[in-house]
Amino acid sequence: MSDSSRKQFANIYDRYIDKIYRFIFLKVGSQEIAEDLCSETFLRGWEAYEMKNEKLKMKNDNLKSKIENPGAFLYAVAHNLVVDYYRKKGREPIVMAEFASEEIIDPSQDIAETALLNADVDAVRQVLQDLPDDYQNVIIWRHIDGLDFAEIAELMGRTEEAVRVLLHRALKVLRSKLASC
Amino acid sequence: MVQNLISKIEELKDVKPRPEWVVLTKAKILGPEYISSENHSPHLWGIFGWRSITAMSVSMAVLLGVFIGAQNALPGDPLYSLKRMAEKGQSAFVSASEKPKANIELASKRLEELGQIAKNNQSRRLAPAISEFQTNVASLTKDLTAMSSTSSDMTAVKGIVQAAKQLEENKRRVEAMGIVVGGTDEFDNAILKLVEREISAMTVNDLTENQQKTLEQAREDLKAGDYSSALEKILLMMP
Repeated sequence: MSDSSRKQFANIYDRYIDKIYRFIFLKVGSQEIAEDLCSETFLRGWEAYEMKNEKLKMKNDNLKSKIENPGAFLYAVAHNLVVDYYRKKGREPIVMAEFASEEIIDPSQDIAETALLNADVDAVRQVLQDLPDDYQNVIIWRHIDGLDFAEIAELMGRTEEAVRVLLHRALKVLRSKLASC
Repeated sequence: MVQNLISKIEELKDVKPRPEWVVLTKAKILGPEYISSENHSPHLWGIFGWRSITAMSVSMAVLLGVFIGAQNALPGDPLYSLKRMAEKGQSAFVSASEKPKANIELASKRLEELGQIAKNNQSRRLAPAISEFQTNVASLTKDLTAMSSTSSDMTAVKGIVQAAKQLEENKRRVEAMGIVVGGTDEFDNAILKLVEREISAMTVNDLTENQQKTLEQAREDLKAGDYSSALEKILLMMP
């Protein structure tokens, strides 16, 4: 593999390492497990990158090799690894929003506001970790990673409108769960 | 209201990987020449002079020191993932018959770490340590379940029984500190099967009167759910 490929992937690594690590950590809640899964994500990313470059080389030497949307690819690998991790562990906290029972307690504004102001960042993290998978993803990508709706729509394979609705629901459930903590 | 919630969520942006882990992982994937990273450790380039052999030796010595230091690391410590890496490396050289024992010993280690964390009153580290333990238990339960029910390697079986007994004791010790390690139902079930299997294997042997008594006590311990005592008695009867 050429030095230029390594340099390109090194740039991808630098650009996404914080985001992918955080994405995994917020789902598994353990530094050690997040580090293991994140290393594996980038290792697989690098293998895929090498394989793609080799194929492109065989097709056309002059074709500039590149991995299309490396962010989306890495998020997808990370997500699959987290799902595998929970499956091996024998529990299933990965719940799709569509199948989650939305037991939204609707606290009064005052109680919810007080609970929210008192909640520390660790409580927010723990409640976020308990949310259905799609809710976690949309909150992380929009409010932590700062992606726009079009990017999230591409990552989730949904329309922008559907993502907006999903985010609205996700925040509502998060707020409700924080209030009932 | 929504803005307050979003502000709280945004605080999670502070979750970041450890810079030294970021650098080491990059080097592991792309090679040692990538040990320096502009984003994460601009200072390391100055510390590690990769072009000079002397500097390389110093770096190796530093890394060796770090690995040795990592042996006492606890979950949440910066060096803990190095300790785990070293353990994974060691387990790669363990034979299939010794793997369950090695995994039980690792789970036991995780419990010792939990005990240490509880003693140090580092409550924030409890959750990751429990999670580490559960991961180990899930993997060793698989090994125990997969073990042949007619395994004739007595040394391996004895090793497993000894390690399982130690694990049961460590678990009790940690639970006595008020820590709920959880997630061990499947493991308990696997140990139960192990004890049952050894008891039935011994039943077919010619036993002295004393051995029969010990076996009977082991059965009673098993009925009472006291696996640690049952394992101890099985050990006493093993050649």
